Amino acid sequence: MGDNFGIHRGPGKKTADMVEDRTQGQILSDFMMQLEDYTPTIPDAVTSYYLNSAGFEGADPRIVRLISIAAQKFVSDVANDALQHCKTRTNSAPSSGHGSSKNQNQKSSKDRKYTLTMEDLQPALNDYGITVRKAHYFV
Amino acid sequence: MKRNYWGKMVDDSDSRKELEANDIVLTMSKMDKFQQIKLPYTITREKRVPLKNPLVTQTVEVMKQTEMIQTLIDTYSTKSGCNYILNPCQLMPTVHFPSSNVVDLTRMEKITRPFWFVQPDETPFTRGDPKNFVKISKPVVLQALRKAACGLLCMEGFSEINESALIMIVDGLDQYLRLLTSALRTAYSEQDEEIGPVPTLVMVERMYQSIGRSPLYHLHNYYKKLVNKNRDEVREFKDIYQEYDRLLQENQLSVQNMQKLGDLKEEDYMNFLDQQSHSS
Repeated sequence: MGDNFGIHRGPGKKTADMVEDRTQGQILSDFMMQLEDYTPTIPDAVTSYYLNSAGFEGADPRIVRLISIAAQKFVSDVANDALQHCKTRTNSAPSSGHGSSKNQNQKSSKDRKYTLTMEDLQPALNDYGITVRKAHYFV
Repeated sequence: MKRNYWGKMVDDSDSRKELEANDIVLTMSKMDKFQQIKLPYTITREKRVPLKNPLVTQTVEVMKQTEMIQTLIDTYSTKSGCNYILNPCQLMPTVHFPSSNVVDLTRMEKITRPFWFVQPDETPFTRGDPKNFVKISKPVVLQALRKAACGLLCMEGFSEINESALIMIVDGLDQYLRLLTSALRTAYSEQDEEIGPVPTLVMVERMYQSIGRSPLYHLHNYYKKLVNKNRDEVREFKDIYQEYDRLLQENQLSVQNMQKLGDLKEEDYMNFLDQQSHSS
């Protein structure tokens, strides 16, 4: 006696999840092999230092590089958020001079150099759970 | 009678100065000069920490070169419907980029194919054979993180950074790495079987899920994004370099024409005057 009583209920949720996991696993497996050609910006020795400090042996170079890329992605995401904050702040600032045209605004935004300051970094880090509080005064 | 203070170190180690970090990261050009100075230790190849990411380095270099050429184009030409040279008599500078800027991103046999169709090769890396890494101290770690953070910030679009912001982002990165390793320790302790001190991929996946709330294959998407950004920047550089090359040729042609006009001989000038006097 079947458990579905002859009614076809389509692929079970477990099968769909297994297919998705296998695809993600395959993607990850291919990615691990390609990591040999990609040197992360954060050196392997630095990541190995942190692994050793937590009591692990950083012997498998693939795991070390994965963690390096995770940390690199964190910096890229924070930098991207900070850049968006910076652009929003500079674009919302009143432009000086007489009647700025659209072309002038486009040219100035393209040529503008962006400086990373604490003002932009603070909200970006807050979104990632790192709370930064500036002292109200300096002695 | 000599006084004995409570809590004093037995071997007088508290009277000595604190140990200072004597491991520094040097560039190759400075290493030769540094080795001429007598040091209590020697810098060997095994003790160097390579700080290089060809993908990021090339992308940042290409972005700077694109900006430089764009500035030259804006200086020497104007855009009013079509490009033309501002001053035909002024010679535009030629731009040469050193060959050392060219970066070898991947092994030669993988360049011609999209990287997700590459056949897997069996190497010690892909097998996960254990590898020994250089043991470094905390000041060297922070200096390496500082350089890495600067490179990544350049790639995202920042041209400058405040010292306080740099210190903050390096501290944030240091904290994030500690967070990752402590989450890895948590994932390790939740394992039922005894697996030894080397973390596995499953543990790394659980670590990343607990920290980033996203699966590990998002790192693969991030890597693809870096590669696509590099290709876009190189394409933009090629387009803008072609435009500059075209303006340069036009400028050189106009300068040559102006020089030819300046080579009039006296008899030609007199003949020109004679023609005018006859016509009038």
